[in-house]
Amino acid sequence: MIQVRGLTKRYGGVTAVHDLSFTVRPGQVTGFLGPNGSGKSTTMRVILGLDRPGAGSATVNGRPYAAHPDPLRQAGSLLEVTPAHGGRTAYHHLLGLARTHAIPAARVTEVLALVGLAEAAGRRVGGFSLGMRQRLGIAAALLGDPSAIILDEPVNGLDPDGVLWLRTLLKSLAAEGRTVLVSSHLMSEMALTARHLAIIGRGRLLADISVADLVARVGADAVLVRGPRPTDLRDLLVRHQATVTATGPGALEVAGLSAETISALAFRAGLEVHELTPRRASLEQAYMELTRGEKEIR
Amino acid sequence: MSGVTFWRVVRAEWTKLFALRSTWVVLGVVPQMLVGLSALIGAQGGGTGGGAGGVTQAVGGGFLVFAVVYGGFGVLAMSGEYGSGLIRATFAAVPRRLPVLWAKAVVLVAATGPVLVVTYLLAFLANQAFAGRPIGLGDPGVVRAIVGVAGATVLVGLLGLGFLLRHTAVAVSAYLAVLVVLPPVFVALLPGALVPYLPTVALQAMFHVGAAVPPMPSPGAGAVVAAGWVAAACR
Repeated sequence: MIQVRGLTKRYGGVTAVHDLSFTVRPGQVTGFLGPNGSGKSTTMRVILGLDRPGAGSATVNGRPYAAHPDPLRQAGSLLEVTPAHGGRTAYHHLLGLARTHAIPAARVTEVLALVGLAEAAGRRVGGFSLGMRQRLGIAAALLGDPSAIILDEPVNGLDPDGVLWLRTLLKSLAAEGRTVLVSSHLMSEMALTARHLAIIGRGRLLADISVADLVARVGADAVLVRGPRPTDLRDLLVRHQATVTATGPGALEVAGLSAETISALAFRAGLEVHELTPRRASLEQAYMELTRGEKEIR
Repeated sequence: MSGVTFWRVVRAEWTKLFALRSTWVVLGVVPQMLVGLSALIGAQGGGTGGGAGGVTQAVGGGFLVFAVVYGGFGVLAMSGEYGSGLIRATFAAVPRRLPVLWAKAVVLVAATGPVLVVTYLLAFLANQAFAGRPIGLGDPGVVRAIVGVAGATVLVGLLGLGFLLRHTAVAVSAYLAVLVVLPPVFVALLPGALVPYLPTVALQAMFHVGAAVPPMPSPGAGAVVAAGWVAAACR
């Protein structure tokens, strides 16, 4: 469980995060979503004790991350670019981290196999591709078998196979009862893995909502109907409790009735219909709606 | 117990240090070069007669070369982690800076100390084997000077370690400036009473044998001053 309470962080005169509160629960993937520069990385750095908050607090499993005697077993993390010295092998990079917690060398071999780097274990990190580095960073995050996983934009640099692999991995980690917090600026990516979303813009919380609720909130599904006699069609549908708006010559947007019902009603009334298009408001649209005006180039 | 302890951090830093090729070069190849160089200087009659001044030269002639190499080694141990971003992974595992710095210091002393004692001993023997008027190991001050110069070089490495600037190139340059380039300027400018407190002067005093002009602090006093600089740097 990760809890962020009233978190505020300023860099010089710029407020990166303002009074941010949300909870990341175990057993599901939580997407941490926001445009670039919205404060996602800052928040993650504070959660991991790499930055001090100006006000508020962030705890992992009930305590500040740095106050745990065994931080790698509490939360595994990967911040934007995989940090590793190019001169060490993947194996020795992980072994150096493992030693701090007396994690056995066998576990190093295990996580390397888990992320698909078993073959590359003895190669120097300097020669790794971005995707391989990203896998190494994920291996490091899993090293301590932590109850929470915190990943900042982990799909960066992964090839399509890698992205697919990561989605499966994140879901299975959550299914094991772990707390999984993954940041992204892409709703499309989060829609495929996350069950809960914390959405921020300009350092402020815009929504702390389950994906299902967000779908329900924005999913006032509408149907686009086109026909030669729009007025008759409108009167008919309004009599059946639909909300109808004219969107163009001969075109109506109908809310409150399914495409099937509209078709049946029109057929019985003898009204011709030239187009009948169900429109589902996408998560992407909901996200754009929420973050409109919150984008900021930094 | 499954958590972080200081000795586990030391072990981790030991693992990290010896997983780098450069470590093997600094600890394996550089000492051999220095021994060879000492022999060459001895054969060229590198000016070392008998007497006290000769001891200092014969034992500590390679000090400045080593100071540059091991100082840089120390600087890289810490600022190299900032350069590669590795420091984030390190601090994620050990979320406090000082235990990491001190663990690196312990490892640096343990790894370089024995190597340096042996290297300076061999360099001295090689130098004298080829020199005209050999100074023996049993001559006054020789053993103490060997231990002193090895200790001084270890302290140089520790100074470098504490010389924490996040940009490696800047850190190395600034380090060299402070330890090698600026001291003659300081010696000229500072009132005489302050000169013994300069790190380089204190370090050189650690292996000095006999009288010096200008006068130097005693080896013990030099060691205390140098250790004070290290303590100030590594915190």
